[in-house]
Amino acid sequence: MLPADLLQKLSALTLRSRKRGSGVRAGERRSRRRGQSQEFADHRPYVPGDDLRFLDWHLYGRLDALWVKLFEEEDDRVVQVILDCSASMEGEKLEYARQVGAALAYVSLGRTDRVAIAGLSDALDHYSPPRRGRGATRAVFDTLQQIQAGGETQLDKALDAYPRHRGTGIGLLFTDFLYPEGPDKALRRLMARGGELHAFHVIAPSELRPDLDGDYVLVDAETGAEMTVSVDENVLERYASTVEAWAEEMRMTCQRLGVGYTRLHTSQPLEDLILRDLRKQGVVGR
Amino acid sequence: MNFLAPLGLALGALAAPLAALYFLRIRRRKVKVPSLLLWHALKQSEKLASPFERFRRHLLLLLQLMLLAAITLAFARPYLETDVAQFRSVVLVIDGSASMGATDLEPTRFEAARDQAEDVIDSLGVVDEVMVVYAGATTKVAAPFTRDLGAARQAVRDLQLSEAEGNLAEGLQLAFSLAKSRPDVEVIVYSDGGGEDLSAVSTGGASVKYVMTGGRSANAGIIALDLRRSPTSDLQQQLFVTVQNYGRQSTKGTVEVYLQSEMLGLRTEELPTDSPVSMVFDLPASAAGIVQVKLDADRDLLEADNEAWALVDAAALRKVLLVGGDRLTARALSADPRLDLKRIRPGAVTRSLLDEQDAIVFDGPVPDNVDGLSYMVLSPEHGGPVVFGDEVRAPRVLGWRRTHPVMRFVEWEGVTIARARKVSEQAGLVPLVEADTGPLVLAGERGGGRVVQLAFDPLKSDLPLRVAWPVLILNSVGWLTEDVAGSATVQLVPTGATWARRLPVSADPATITATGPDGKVAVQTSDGFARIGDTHAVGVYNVRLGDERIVFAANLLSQRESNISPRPTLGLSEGATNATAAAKVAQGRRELWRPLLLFGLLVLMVEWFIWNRRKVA
Repeated sequence: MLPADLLQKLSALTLRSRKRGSGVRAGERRSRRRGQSQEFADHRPYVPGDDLRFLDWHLYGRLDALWVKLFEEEDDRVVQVILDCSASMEGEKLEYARQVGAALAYVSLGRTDRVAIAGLSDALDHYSPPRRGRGATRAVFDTLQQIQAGGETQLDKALDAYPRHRGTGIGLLFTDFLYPEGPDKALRRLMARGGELHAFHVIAPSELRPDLDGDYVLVDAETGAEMTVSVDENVLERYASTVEAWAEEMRMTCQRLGVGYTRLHTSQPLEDLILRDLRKQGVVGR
Repeated sequence: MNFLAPLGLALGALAAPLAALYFLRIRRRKVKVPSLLLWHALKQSEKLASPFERFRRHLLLLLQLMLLAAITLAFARPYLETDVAQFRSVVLVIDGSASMGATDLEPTRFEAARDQAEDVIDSLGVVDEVMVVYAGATTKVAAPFTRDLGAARQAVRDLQLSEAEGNLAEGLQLAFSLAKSRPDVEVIVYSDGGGEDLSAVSTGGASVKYVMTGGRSANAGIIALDLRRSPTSDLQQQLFVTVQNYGRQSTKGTVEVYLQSEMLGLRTEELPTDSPVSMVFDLPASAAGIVQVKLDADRDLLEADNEAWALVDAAALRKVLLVGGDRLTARALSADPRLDLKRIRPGAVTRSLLDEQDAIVFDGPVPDNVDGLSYMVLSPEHGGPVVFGDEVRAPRVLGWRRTHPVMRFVEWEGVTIARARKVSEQAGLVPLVEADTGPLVLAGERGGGRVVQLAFDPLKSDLPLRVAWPVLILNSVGWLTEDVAGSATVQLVPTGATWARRLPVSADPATITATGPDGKVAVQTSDGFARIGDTHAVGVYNVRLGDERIVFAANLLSQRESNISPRPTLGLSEGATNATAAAKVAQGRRELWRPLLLFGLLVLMVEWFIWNRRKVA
């Protein structure tokens, strides 16, 4: 699902929390409960920058390879990768969301976070309960792969069926924000579940500047509603401004609700996004 | 802007079905978009945008409506009143007579007319045709009906003004008859009216527009020139010059006369507006050569009539033979220095001697076979062609022909004649003096010569004692030798007329050349004649016939042309639209359907281009 070299690079990253909360593992994240439980959980290969205190010197002695010891805490964190899989996400947007979701899930699995996957439209279409460790990577990826677009966006309704998870965690919401009733309610409900929420606003280039010129009947991918338009250069320019204004509005809404916001342009290479932009934003870090 | 076919505007009603079809015809493609959310937002903001902005999206419809508008307007045939006309067939008649050389229009009336004619040609469309007719001293079709406007323009440019009396009637007649071959033909006449009576010219149904060329009448010109012997002395010649002022104000005019470039006389006179002024200049008997007369008037717009030319041949010495005769007669004859008098006895007469003479005065028996000779017989007893009858006594003179050259200044009143002979047969001669008994003096032409015959013996009358006798003798000799003397042999032609001269048999036509005032002129030779038709310039023409040199002069001398006052109307009897001003006649309808259709075509191309671009996009 993700190229091997990217996976290699992702191994060194940690999903960062904007607030210091519970559910973190010792040696990986700052926590109010640091050092309380030192129960060994897993190994992972050493990457430059890892804390040398957690190197497993025994393994080094035996295998001549550097591995880092991971410890399980009692109050661990659940990283929820929530994909908006309504019909409006169909195509490159869902694919891109799936890949970014997979990358961040991979980062989280490498740090002993538990990773849950959900695909929401007007119902809970897909769900994978929280899994931990590298061993869960395939299962997580498979779940992501299975997510297909369809149905209307009614996140609010879909959340009814979405199970609550124990402990706090981070919600990673991949959506296009094309909600008929607006995103407020859904975001509030997700926030109300405790923990923090980060929204990834997925925008395709064809949304910013549709390849249209002439007279068309536009069909809503979700509702099937139709609308007649005559498009020319001028209209396209005004449409682009409308999209820009609307995206900015989404960013403001997220900011107001305390939701992290990142705009994803599907044309941007994945590696650039994660290793440069998301690091810069502090979504991921070492 | 007006319309020739306003009904064509009804075509505009097609706009409604066109718009309806446009909107019905739009085949909107269905395109799936993630959400209509943002499009709705856009549409909401569109409502605030200007209606024009919304219409811009229907650019194709807009272009189609523009195309329809252009076609509709074109069908209604709109036109503008412009200063250039548009016709289907145009005949341009350009007057090239001398009066068109007047300078009241810059630079001359003729050139102004040419420019206006060129303007009309420039305004014609590719489907229009034009013919150019030149009406000068000669009439010619400078360009037959043609759509080659460049050729027609060149033909107009090539036209030359002539200093000759024009013949506008002939030019118009030619134009009208050629115009008959075209429907809807327009004949435009550029002229100052020409001064001719045109009422007899039939337009043949053509639409005629007269562009009055010129406006002022200030001109004085030489209208007559004559060279004659002096009435008082046969030894002198006189030059008669008549000038007339055709302007509205009297002016001063100076006439200068030159003989071979030397001034012979100069006179300045006040030229009134209503009558001609004649001047007489005496020329010496020995004068020979080219006489030039120049007029210099204060207000003068025409140059061609300010100059005239005459040619004077040297008076030749005339050979006169007096056969017999008394001293009185001999002295009378010797009084004329132009006579080469020889006196012989009647017995010494030989035919060869007689043949050498220009005139013979027989006061002795007339030999036989004198046909072809010019002679005078002083007594009926000497013989001659007239057959005389019985003698009559004391004839009484009843009258005489005072106008005959032989009788000039000869007074017969009171002449007493003792005896005379009755005339039984006049032999073709005409009585000059009539008495109650019959003719006393007869004269006439006979067998190629001239004869003067007396029916009485002067010595049996008191005539030789009277002044009338030497006058009669000299008059008779003068008349008999008139052909030889040719004292005022003037080779003059009116400008524009053809000069012709019989060629000697030996002449080689190839050697004949001629030059006029403006340089070399063409000479045509045929039927034993040399002809020069190009005499359009006033002045002296030199013709070389091998070694022989002939000089002739061409003069305008035309009251019609000197009177340059333009006529406000042509005076055609039928169907003529007379224009009082050039600007008015040049006005015409400039139809706009052609540019409208061109615009429509352009719109169509733009529409096609945009439609294709959208299709590709």
